Amino acid sequence: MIRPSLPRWVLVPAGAAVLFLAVPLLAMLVRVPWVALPTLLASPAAVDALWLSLRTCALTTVLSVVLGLPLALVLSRSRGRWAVVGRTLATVPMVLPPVVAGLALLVALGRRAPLGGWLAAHGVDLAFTTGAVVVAQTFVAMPYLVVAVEGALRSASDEYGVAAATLGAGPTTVLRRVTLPLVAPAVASGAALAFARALGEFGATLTFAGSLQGTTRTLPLEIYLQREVDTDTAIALSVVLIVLAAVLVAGTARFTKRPWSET
Amino acid sequence: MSGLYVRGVVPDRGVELDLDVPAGSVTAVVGPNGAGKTTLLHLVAGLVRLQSGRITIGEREVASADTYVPVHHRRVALLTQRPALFPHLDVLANVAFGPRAAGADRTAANVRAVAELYAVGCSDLASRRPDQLSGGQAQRVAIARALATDPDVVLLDEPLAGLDIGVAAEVRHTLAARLRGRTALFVTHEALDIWTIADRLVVVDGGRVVEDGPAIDLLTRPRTPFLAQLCGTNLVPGVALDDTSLEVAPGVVLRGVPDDEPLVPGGAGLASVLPEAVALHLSDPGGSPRNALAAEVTSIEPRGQVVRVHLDLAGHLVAADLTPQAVAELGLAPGSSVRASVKATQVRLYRR
Repeated sequence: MIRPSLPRWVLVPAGAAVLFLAVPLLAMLVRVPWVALPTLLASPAAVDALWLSLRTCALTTVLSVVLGLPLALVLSRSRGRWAVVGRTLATVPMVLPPVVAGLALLVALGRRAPLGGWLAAHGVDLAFTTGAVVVAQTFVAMPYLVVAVEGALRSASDEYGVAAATLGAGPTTVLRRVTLPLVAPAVASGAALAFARALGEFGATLTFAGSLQGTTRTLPLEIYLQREVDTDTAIALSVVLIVLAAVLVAGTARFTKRPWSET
Repeated sequence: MSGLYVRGVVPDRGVELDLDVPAGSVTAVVGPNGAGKTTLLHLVAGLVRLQSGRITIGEREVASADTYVPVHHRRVALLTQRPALFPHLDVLANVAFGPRAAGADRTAANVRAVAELYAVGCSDLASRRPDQLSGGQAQRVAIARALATDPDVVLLDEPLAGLDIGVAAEVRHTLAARLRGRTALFVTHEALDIWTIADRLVVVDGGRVVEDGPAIDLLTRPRTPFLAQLCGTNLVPGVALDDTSLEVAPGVVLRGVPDDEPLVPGGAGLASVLPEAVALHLSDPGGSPRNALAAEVTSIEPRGQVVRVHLDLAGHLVAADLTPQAVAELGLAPGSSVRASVKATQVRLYRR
């Protein structure tokens, strides 16, 4: 079928949008010191930051799935006032300025805060540790997984769960063999989004975890630190982030045909 | 094999259903839309809770005001219009799902699944994905999947309604074979389903069971407008004069042949007349074995090869099927006065 065509003038603003998005990235690629790239990336500070980011983001993704998936399951079945409260709680960190998220974490879990003090007294001292980085990243990244998975669960039909139950499957079997396999693509894309969001996390990490090389200074923090001191290193690290982001987005698109329209 | 007893009261849905399904009998459930047929199945499956009453399967009480056995412990299979095969599993794994959930190991479950697929004629589909099946194939696999759990009761909610006519005929045949000897409730709108598959028939209306009996008796001698419509026949009530004549209005007498439950003079009776047996004339046709009664055309409804002419016959609604040519030649229109004639041999008379 031939669809009614778009008016040609739409191409002008659309082209402008492409340029707007592409120019900064292209400028970065032009500016990259390609020859010196291996040396720049091999510096101890760069390696520390890169390694720390990968470790914390992996842990954040695991935590987001372990905690966020059950939350999404519960929210998808909830109605009424408490569901609204839960859904709001799950989405607020997405729109919160990261520095505010970091401050909130500091107020709740910092050494001088009641909860943080209690934790510290029991041997869990989060402040300025790698654990704090994971907490900050999970706080801002988990909502992406919750929203993606809950959307998929809500739009999924009840009929498979009903069929499984009439075939004798208890709730755990239904979850394990029917519900989860059916939303696996959404879990994968939600996890990729959470990983990407954690990778780019800056404000909450800096506010709550600080910037200690090898302990809390992740890639974005290192880039920010180097941008005036050593612009070449900052750009080299940025290229790594751009490549990772592109790989994640492309990978997500493979799992779900239209991951953006699902949420 | 277990029988099924239902007394289900759900005031929220306006339902108060009483039903006793003998072990090993397939009971068809018919009734107008919204009558409570699906609610009946959902009560038995455990998808709707009753507020008072009791449901037992064999000796097991599965629901009452204070017991609720969850769906997965009821041993009740449910087949609906949509096969709902798990899209992420192949056909064999779909059918093996029930036995696996019941604790069978993979090999035993697969052996059972292969046998069930063979029984519905789908052995060659075992490795297909559900999206590679036609509608009829998917419904056959759904039947195999449901029966692989050895359910005590099989519930069917119009499982043939979504299929093409030819495919439905084949699946109906398979269902009849696979349901024989099982306790089942089968919701349908098709008289053919009842003739082919069911041995008992229940009519549900307004949330109540209004008729309940052997399917053949209810279908051959319908006594309510709903069943008459299901069987495609006209039903005219009246008072018996003798076993071959029924007074359907003061001075208006229908002559016919006595059925198995013949009229008792002075008692209430029914005349059953098929629409194709009713002929229309503009003047009295004559001929002694015919009934010829005055009637008025109320509406005319083309139905493909035939035209259904709805008549007001001495206060009763009667349908007559004519050819389009006959309707045109008679010049029929709503309001036309006609003589409706029916051979006495085409009128079956029985007790109400």
